[in-house]
Amino acid sequence: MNILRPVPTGVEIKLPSERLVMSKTDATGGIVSASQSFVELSGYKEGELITSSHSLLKHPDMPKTIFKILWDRLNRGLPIKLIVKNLTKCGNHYWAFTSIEVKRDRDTKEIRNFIAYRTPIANHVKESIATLYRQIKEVEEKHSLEAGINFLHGYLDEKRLGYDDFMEKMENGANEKGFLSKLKNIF
Amino acid sequence: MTQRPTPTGKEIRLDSKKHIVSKTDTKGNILYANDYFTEVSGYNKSELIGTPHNILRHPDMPKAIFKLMWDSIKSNQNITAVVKNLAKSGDHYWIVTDFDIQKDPNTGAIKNYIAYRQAAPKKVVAVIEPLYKTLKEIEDKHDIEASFEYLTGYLQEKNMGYHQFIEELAKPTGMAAMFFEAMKKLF
Repeated sequence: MNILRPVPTGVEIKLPSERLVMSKTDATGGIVSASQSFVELSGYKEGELITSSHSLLKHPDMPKTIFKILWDRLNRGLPIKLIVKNLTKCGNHYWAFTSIEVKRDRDTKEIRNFIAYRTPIANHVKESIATLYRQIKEVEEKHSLEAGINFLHGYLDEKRLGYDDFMEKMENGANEKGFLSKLKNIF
Repeated sequence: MTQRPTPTGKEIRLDSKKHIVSKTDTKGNILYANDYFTEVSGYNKSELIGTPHNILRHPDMPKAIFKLMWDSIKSNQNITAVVKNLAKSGDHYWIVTDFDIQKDPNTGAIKNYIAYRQAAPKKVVAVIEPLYKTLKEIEDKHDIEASFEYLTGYLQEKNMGYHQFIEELAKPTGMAAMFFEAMKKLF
């Protein structure tokens, strides 16, 4: 659990949109393989990434709540989508819409691997998620992880959305800015 | 016991398009508050989380109304109620509340309440304020039972339940109602 992570610089780098930004881990989150663009983006050498825990890339701004939801889901063998702020080797960061799939052993049906695919997110989505994460993080720090989870659920309840619906909305977020949606907000 | 601010008598004008949203457990402890909640109440999110919702209770509010509200939502009935709330500064704001009641999908037991509040229209406050003043006076001189009885009589005379009474008061009239109905048909 003792991972020495770089100090964040606050500098954001862009996720390439035309390349496959993929990583594959074992059932405990140890990196097994990664696409070339993922390796380049991370700033680490491939050899440094392989067998390292994926949490090497965890940015300190990320709330624990999100990873709790992530692992609860993955350990049950279910896929999940999430928005992540990752930390590179030199301390820069990138935001990614991440979609994680679960691979099982064909014979034993045991969970073998998780495969994560990343795509860039729209700026306004990033801003609203960053604000939400900041709030959850603060609640976690002043209260508890449980309070952070409750806060996120309350946020989703307010929108009358489940987590997956919310992620889907964020993924399609760029289209929600038209006149019609503004007009709808009046009612 | 909750330490509440001293009322200033100053009213905070609310944005009629915005909702003040919170989620509580069955005891009324706050689990989530949205941005407009913190903006209006003057408390930040970490202060609100874990605190009983009655931190916002204005001393002018009759106990009978809260009893009515709690009796209703505890029995799984939404209620539209008009409430005068106390901000951290001691200023107050009038709201109309609406609830979502969340139940455990397995046991059916109530788990959470999500409250959506909007600015109470002036014409509603004009009728409600003197009524609450009377109820409060009765409570101070006698007890909550006496004020409850008065409220029951008041509503009986109007041939309405409290919920219906508030909805009637809040109904748009005249041009506004016509516009509202016409717009609703568009969507």
